[in-house]
Amino acid sequence: MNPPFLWSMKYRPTHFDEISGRDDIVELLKNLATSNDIPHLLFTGSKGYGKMEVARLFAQYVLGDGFETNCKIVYAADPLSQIERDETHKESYISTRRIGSTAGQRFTWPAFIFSRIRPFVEIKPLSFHPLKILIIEDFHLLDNQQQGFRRLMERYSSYCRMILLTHQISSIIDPIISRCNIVFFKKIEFTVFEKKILEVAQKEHLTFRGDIPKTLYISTDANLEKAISHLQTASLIAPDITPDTICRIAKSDINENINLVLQNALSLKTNRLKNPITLIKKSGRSFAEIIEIMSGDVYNLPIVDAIKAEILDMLSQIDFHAVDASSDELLLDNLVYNLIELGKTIT
Amino acid sequence: MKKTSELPWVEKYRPQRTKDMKGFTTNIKKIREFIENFEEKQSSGKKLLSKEKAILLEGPPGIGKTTVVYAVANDLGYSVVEMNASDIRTEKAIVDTLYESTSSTDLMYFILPNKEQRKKIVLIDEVDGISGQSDRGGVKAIIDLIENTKNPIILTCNYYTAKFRGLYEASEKISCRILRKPSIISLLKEIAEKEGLVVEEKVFALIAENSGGDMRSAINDLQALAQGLFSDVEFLDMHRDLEEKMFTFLQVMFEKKTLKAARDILSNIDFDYKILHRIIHANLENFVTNPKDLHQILTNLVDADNVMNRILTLMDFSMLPYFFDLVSGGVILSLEERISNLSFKFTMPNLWNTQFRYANDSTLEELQHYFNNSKSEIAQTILPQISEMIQLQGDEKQSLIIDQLANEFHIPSSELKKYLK
Repeated sequence: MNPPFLWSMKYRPTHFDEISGRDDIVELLKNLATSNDIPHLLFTGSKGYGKMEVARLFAQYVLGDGFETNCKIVYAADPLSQIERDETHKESYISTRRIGSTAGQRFTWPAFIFSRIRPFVEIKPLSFHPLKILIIEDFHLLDNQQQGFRRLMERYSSYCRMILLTHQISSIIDPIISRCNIVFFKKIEFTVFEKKILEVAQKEHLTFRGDIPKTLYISTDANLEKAISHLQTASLIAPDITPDTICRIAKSDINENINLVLQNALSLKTNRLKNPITLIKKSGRSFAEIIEIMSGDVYNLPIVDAIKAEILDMLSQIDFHAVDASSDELLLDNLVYNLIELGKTIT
Repeated sequence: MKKTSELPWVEKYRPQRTKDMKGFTTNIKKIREFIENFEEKQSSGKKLLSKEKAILLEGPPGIGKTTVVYAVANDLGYSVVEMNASDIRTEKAIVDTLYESTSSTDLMYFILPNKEQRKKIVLIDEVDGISGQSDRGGVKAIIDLIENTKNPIILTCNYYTAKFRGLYEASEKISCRILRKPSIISLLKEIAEKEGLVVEEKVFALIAENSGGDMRSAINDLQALAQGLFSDVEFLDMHRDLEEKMFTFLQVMFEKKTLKAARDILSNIDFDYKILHRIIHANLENFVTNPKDLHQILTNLVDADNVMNRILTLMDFSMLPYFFDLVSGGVILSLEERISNLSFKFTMPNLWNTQFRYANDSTLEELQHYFNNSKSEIAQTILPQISEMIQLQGDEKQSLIIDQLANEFHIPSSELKKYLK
């Protein structure tokens, strides 16, 4: 069989021991697995630090042959499909033709738990393995359904272990945190990152001009999978890879639109704001990412340093609000009008 | 308006002929053509393609998919062998019930050889009912059945699911749309007339609205109302247009000038107060244009959003008064410049964010097994990256790579091409 076309898949670790740059975590989890008493786990760390990879391979390591049947990965970021919503809807409505005080009433079940999680945890493990593992990505998106989830963690803890992944630990309620062992994911170290990149380069016969590993490390924020796929794109453009090519690939239109919003708002060109704002909203980027790109742009603006500091202060305040916010659109609009107010003080 | 009846009205007024049906005109034609084509080729001994042996009617529940099959059968002089897939779930059961009637001839033929034999249509209702791991054999049995049938087969289902892909490939799909309100109302009126009911115009509209295109539930509601199961029409009025309520709320609130007056309206609202700030935000530009006012209002709304999020995660409702103050007074008192706007287009807040459009996407669901990522991440980051890579290749190489990728992802390459623009 041919190797996968995508390098990011080709060089993806297939066994728990092959994970690079996570020696401490791998060792910790292995100890837990051998002690035969795995707790619920909560993985936390920025996006792209490889939480899902570790969780998946750990489940594979623990369950062995039973991985396919006894492990389920749930993505909280995926909205419920029409069928799932209808099913929950059906259960929630008590017909008007029934007798009793609840007739004709509507109850709201925690829909996500009802349709995605409960069917899996309610059934005991298949085959001879004693455990089941449930992995939930972006757990913080469950919002108020976390309270309902707490009960599931207790009731089915005799045979089901949950691994919860999140990059926003502040939105997870205390009762859940206290029931889990927390594992922190840090940025992988540059030496490990460099080693892996050079290994790929050697196997694919690439030639580097300049310090490519460093450029990739910064532009992808230490995300190995992304870095490798950028490398593949770069290799298709030209056989010699330069830092310039990498930067060109990493940069996208979203940066341009964010820059446009920043400049137009500060120079009070309000009529030119609507278009880039809708484009940013459509792109579906998280608010944290937008703030990050914008604060990088502030340094290059042709204004005095005192005002730059003021803008950065304002950005940090909004970033703080974002921790406890449910609507990115509202925050973005607020950010724009804050910028306009600041723009008035300049002129 | 009390009246009793023996039969459920849904059965009593089920149309017997296609001319009595509401809607469906193009679909009736298609079904009729399908059966006639089957008959013609079968009798002349021509070989039939699998798509000419079975059709699949797809559409939401209660719009008359089963009824249309019976009506067409009556028109053409066929009898219908019905099987409800949700009752019988295993391969063996399907074979036992259906094979007899599809491959053998009629029992009546032996008893009354002179009488013309009635031809049959096999109807498998609610294919969706076959589901889950254990019923995989069920789908296969139906596909085998289509291969070997001597009678036309009609399947009905509610939604497209990737699970039944094999079935979709083996049959011709006809999608049925939901019924429009006027046709439901006219049908309800006919029934009311036949039953001798005196019903207000408003009630018909309400029932039709409430049914959401589901004819069966509309008729059931009318019957329940007539038999006195509902004491009151208002009872039906549970989900009257939510948007209308929000619309009037906004109109009233932006007219108020004091904190107390604005707070007072909030005690009377009867929709989900948790999204109040989102509703105001989505429609804000209709009421406020001054940037300074907007700035102040948005700051307050962000605070309200934060408070509401805390309330929901901690389940601590003692903070609710702060939220109400922020969305009422926080908005009203920030206004320096007022514009009166009584007619505007109401926009519903975008509660499910942009990822919502991937909800029913079954191809992305299969890609998920390969990439182990959420659907939006795959659609917005990974696939654009791949398409960028492919565009860098030569023209003849492009299609080769797409085929290879599709093979790796276990999806048809035509599907993959749609995602790689």
